[in-house]
Parts: sequence; C-alpha cells; structure tokens
Amino acid sequence: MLLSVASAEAQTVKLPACGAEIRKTSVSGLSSGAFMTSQLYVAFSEIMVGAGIVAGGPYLCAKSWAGNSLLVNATTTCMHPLTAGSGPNTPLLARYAATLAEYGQIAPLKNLEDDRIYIFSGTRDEIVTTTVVNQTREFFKAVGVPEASIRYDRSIAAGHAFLTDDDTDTACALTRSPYINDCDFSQAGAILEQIYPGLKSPARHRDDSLIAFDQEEFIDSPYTSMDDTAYAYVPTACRSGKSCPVHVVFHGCRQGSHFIGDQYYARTGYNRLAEANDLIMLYPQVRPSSASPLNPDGCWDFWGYSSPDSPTPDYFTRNAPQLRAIHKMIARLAEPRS
Amino acid sequence: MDADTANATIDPKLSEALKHWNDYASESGRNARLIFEAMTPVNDSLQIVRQVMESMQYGGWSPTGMPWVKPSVLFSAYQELTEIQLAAQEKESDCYIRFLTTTLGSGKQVAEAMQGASTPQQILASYLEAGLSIARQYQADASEHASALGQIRSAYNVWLQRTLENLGHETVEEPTPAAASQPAASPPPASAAEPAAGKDSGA
Repeated sequence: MLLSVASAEAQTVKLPACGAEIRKTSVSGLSSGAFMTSQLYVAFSEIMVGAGIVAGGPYLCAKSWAGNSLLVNATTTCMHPLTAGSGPNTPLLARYAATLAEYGQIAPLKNLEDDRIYIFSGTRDEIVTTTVVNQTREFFKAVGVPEASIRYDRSIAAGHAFLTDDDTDTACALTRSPYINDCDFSQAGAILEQIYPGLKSPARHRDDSLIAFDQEEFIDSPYTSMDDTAYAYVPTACRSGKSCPVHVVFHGCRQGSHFIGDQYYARTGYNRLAEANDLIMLYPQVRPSSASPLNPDGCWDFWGYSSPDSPTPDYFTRNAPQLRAIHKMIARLAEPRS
Repeated sequence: MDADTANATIDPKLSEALKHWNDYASESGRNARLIFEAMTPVNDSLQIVRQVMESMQYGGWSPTGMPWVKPSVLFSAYQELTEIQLAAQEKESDCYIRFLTTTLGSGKQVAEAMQGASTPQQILASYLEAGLSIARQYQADASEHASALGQIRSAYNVWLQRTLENLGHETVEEPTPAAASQPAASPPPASAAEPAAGKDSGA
C-alpha cells in the first residue's frame, strides 16, 4: 500500500470526472475537520444528505461572543471553555445561520430537515470537550434537524482522535499524534452507516482505487493553506460507469499528509467501506503555513485565517476560499465522464 | 591547547546532548516567532469593535436609558461570576501544582540521569539531557498555564457581554442561560449564491 501511494504521489493526476451522484453527497471530519464539516455541510446543504462530526463544535462557533476575537473564541469557547456558560452561544449561532440563509450566503436551512447526522465526543477528550460537542447537537436541533435523525455517541472513553478497530493504532484514551486511536470501534463505519443506512460490510482496499490529484487547480486564493496534492478513493464500480455518491473526509490539525503521510486517507477504514458500497471518498488536504496565513498546525479554517487582513473574515459562507475549492472538487467528480 | 587536549575526542553521548539542545533552541526560536506573528492586536481590536457594534445594533440595546436595576438579572450574573471565579481558582491551582511537581522532581531526575556515567563527558551529557527534559516539562507547564489564562479571560469577557445584554433587554423577562442579542448579520455580499442543484440552494 505504501509503495502504491508513493507511486500515486509521483503521478499526481487531474481529479477525474466520475459522473458522481452529487445530490447524495455527505461529509465528515475530526476536530478542525469537524468544524469544517459543519461549514461545508450547512453552506452547501442542497447537495448534502448527512454529516459526521467527531469532536467538533457548532457551525459559526468562533462567532459566539462579540467581546472575544474569532481566534480567542475558536481556541477557548469552541474547544475547552472554562465553564459551560462560556461555551458556544448556540441560540445566537442558530439565528445567525438563519440570517445567512435569508441573504443567500448559505443554502436554506430547511434542506437539513431530512438529513442524517452523526456526532461523537470521547469522554477523555480534553481538547474539544463534550461541553462544546453537546452544543453541536443543540445547533442542529435548533435549525430543524429532527432529534431522531441525530445519532450522538458519548459512550466511549476515547481521547481526542478518530477511532478505529486497528490494534496498531494509539491506545483509545490517549491524545497524541497521529490522533487515530484503536477503540475496537470503526468510527468510519458508524458515520457512514448513520448517513447511508444499510451498508455492506467492508471490502478489501484496492490500491489502484486510491489516487493523488492536483488540488491546486481548485484553489483561487493564496491564503487557503491548502496543499498542492490531495487524495481520493474511487472504487472500481464508480470508475466503470456507476454514478456514486461522494463522501468528503476532513482530517484534523496535524493530520494532513504533510504530517502523517497516508494514515488518515488510507488507514481510517473509510476506503474499505467505500469499495464495498460504491462510495467515492474525497480527502482534501491542508498543509502547515508559518506566515500569511498563519496556520502552523495545518488546521482547517474555522476562525478566519484564510482572510488574514480582514477584520470580518469569511470562512463560513459559500464564498469562503476553502469551501469554494472543495465544492469545485465535488462538482468535478459529478461531471459526466468524458 | 596542549598535546593531551589536542587529541581528545568528544564522547558521542555529549555530542548528541549538545545537538538536542541546539535543536531545542531552534525549535524555541520558531515557536517564539509563531507566537509573535499570532499576536495581531490591531486586527483583533477592529474585529471586536465591529462585532460589538453589530451586536448592539441588532440587539436593540444601548448603554443609555437601560434599566440597570434588575434583581433577577443581577442575581444570575453574580451566580455565573461565582462559578467562573471557582473554576478559575481551580485552574490556577492545577497549574501551580504542575509547576511544583516539575520542580520537586527535577533534582531526582538529574541524579538518576547521572547514574552510570563513568567519564566527565558522560556526566556532562547526562546532566544536559536531564536538563533538557526538565526544560521541556517547564515549557509544557507554561503552555498549559497560558492556555488556562486564555480560558479565564475569555470566560470573563463572555460573562460581561451576557450580563450587559441581559440588563439591556427592553422587556423585563427572566434571561435564559445562553440568552444573547440578535445575530450580527452582514448585508449580502456582491457575489450571488450558486445555482440550485438538488435541494434548494437559495439562489
């Protein structure tokens, strides 16, 4: 698998048009990837059928409190607030989302009403605490997602990590790089089963289905901190004519390929489920940046770094630099095969 | 330099210890630069001023003419402030305990590291490695303390905002724990939303 990936990286290709079924798109992510998940999901809900948020706070979280800067909110209120009362300001965020939808800056919130959402918080997670993740559920309820459509799992004594059933991964309760923990639990499976009920069991990962593609062609801003290369897993059936849904997977901080190689995009369990169920996996990538934008840990933008000189950065509407780029990738996958 | 010292070689462990310290110094320099670059007081102030003004505008409240004496609101504010004070004290206490633990353990750490060293260079190498480990522990303790101070400051800011908003509400009603003003919404941008595909895109 490593040899195949090395070969793939040496042969970065153009993201192919696969005739994907764009109206069944979904998204999931961990940590900053989870915040990004909410942003992509809410902004483009017209093409979405569900989302998986692992250790992430509600949409627009960094805008919770006007007296704090976005960065301060992002790193305190949205991660580990001192008290529950200083956590995310969910009623305000829900009203703000409604206003954005009213002005057409994000898709109408009624699109969310028939979707299915998975939310997870590890009880040993001290990076993004359960206090914050609780508000993610409250946010989706406030914007109209029925409670029965939300699966919120707080049952596992996991650290801040994506969970697998691979005993070569980090011990379940720890919080350390690469933030992929063995908790005898396939989180990829749980997310995808919640979004697309009735999945088949995982199949064998096929090396020739994993591609490295040129991500740069989708980026039109110099401040996205997005990497030149990203990855996608396109199962055999999806390359052979079938119109497959796309699932976007966002890594967390320090989990892009620059930091941990292929561990997130090749070894978290998504691809085996993709192969068995004819789902296209899209793995956008962020790389660290030490200046303009300042993003040393290679996080997805949930506080505005992608607009470094603006006091009112846009990282959360359809026009946000990173969201625009990812939407273009999804649109490319949905283009008819040539 | 005399004939003896001219032929002296550096013990590999000492060489490695010196390299580790050099790497640590470089890393610390990089981290200091990142911290400096992350400090954008002008941008942050502009951001906060704009946010507060929008919050006041859409919240329909202003400092003048506010019925400042609202017993229920004041009681709730004192309760929340007490909660923050207690949590802040607990955080500070945890941080001091961390520092003390590192300090109390440092002597033993150095002594244990130097056991088994048989030459002056090896003794020095062991001392340097132990010292580096202690420095990293202190740095981690300082980072944790800085994070805690950030949490405390943020919590006080939140308390102040919520209290002012609750006092400034025109109607006399019991505030909910997360009560806030109307959202600070911006007028629509110049670019329109993309065409609908599937569900309603809002175009």
